[in-house]
Amino acid sequence: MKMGKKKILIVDDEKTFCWMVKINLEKTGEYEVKTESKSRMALSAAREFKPDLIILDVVMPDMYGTEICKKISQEKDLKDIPIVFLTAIVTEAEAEFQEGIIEGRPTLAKPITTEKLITHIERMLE
Amino acid sequence: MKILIVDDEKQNLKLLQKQLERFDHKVFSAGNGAQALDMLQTSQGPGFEMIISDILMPIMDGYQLCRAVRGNEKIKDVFFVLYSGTYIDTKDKILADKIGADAFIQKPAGIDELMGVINKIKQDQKAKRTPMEPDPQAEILKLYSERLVQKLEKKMLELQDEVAKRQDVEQKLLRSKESFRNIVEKVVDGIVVLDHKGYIKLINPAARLLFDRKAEFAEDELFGFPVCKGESTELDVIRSDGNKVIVEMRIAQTQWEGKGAYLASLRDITKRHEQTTELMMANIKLKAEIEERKKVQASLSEAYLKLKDTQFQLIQAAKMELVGRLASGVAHEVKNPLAIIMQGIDYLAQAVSTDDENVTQTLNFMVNAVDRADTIVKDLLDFSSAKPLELSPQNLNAIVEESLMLVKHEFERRHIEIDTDLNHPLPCAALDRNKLKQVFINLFINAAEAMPTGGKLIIKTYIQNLSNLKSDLPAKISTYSKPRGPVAIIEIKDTGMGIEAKNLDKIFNPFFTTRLREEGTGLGLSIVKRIIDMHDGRIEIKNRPKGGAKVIVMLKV
Repeated sequence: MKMGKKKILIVDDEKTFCWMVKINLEKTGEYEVKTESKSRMALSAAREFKPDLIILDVVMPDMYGTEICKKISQEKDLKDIPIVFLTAIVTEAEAEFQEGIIEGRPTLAKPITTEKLITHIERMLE
Repeated sequence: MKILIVDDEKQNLKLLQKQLERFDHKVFSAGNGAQALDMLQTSQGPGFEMIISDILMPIMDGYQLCRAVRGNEKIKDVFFVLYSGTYIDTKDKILADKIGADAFIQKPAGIDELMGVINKIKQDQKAKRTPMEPDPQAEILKLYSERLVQKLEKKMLELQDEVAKRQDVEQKLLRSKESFRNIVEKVVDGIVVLDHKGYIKLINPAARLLFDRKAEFAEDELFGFPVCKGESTELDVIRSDGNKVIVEMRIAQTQWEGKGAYLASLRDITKRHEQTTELMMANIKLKAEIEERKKVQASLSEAYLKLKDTQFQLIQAAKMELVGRLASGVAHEVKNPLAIIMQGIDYLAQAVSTDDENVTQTLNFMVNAVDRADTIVKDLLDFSSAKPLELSPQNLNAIVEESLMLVKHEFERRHIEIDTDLNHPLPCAALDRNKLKQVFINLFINAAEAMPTGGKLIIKTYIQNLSNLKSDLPAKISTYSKPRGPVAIIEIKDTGMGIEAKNLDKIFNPFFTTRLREEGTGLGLSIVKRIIDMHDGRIEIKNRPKGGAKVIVMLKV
């Protein structure tokens, strides 16, 4: 049942990348995307936005995505939100063949096509 | 002529006889005047024609004989020659004349002189003979006595002289004997003289001491030890106290009392023997020590080479780690911009008009370009990866089959026949499954791309035991051949284009590629080789004699 747009939170220190993903996803009309480029703000952004899915980069200044992931999973209200890592530190092969390579969470390798990204998001939201 | 010679010294008689017989005279001899007279009177056959007589003789001297002969009717005409060794004076001659001698010769007379006198006498037959005076006896006697006394005195002096000489010689002999004694008695070496039968003729105190059997080794006893001339022999002698000594005996030939004899010199060499033995033992020990040291040196050399090898490998590893870290940093920094570009392309693809073919084309090219950049980054990471192998027990055949499965479509697409001969079972080995999959996928794809219009791919696996293979490292650095012992061998053969001979030694070089820019990074084989190296294995690529390439991978099991 369609309940309005799906809310996606993307956390990546690369602002440009965030912007590109946002317009590509929102173009489909299916998604509402919030971007956050400061790792420290990730948690508050999540609490406030209450996303259906969170996309995390890993290598960021200040705090790694993996730490953010840990913090989220410790918060009562946030721990059930599905998280996917989108990062340059794995190869496509690694992401594909080694499930849960990072923190046991699904991982996608950069660079990625929007098509693949959406496929994955949909799979996770089911 | 029949001649009678008279002299009290046998030597003189002999000599004179010899001289006369050379001239065919018949010679008789007598030892003194009395004997001569007797012979003259009793001679049978033809009588004596001549008498040659010495003067100083016992019983009847020469003068007396001459007078006797002259006074004897039977023999008064025999020629008489006085032959004297003592000093001759004119008075002697006068006496000789007075008593009726025909000639007076001084000893020693050469044969020529003798013959001369004899011949002259024969010639002057009776010329010289003076008639016998009736009784001038007193005068004659006086002269006779005088001459005799003279002669006797002279003789006595000669005798004294001779005695002195003899005494002198005796002294010398005594001293010589004493010297001999001093040497033989005192010499430290043993001396034994043996006759040709082996009897002891002389044995010195040192020798007695050596044999330590004073009583037994007496003179004229058998020596008992065998005698070898020229060589030195060693005798084992057991002394009375039971100890054994080793005696060195050297034999020389010599004379003893006119006969051939052996001279043995003996020396106690027990000590020398011991020292020699000690020396030999020390030598053996030394040799053994040298051998030991050689061994130690050999193992030191080996250890050193091992160390050098390890050092080299550590340096390589450190380099690789550095490169790896650099590479991952770079990779990360490149991938992020690539991600943005990718997203950008996605957006533009949606946002711009697709009526224009060039737009579509452009966007496609851009996607390809990003893919290539992504691949290159990935390959670079792979190549420089400092990540250690994740080893786990693996069945190599399973990995081969899985990898084949993943690329099957490539072969089908190009109509390439696949022929597998996998030796079951291959023993399990510690391998990094994912990395080896990467290796096989890469090799299979290479083979497929070498057969664009079809062909055959043959894959074979088996076990072999290798004793010693040369390592890929430069010979002077590594003496460690890898792999050793039992290995699993994977052969991948194709019927494709093969590899140009000039490129064969470059194919594992990073970025070396014979393919078009779009189709490969050139890192594939260098990554493959790296993974195999990390497994301590070996990879070889050769051309097949009938065309195509053959890849041999060897891994330790």
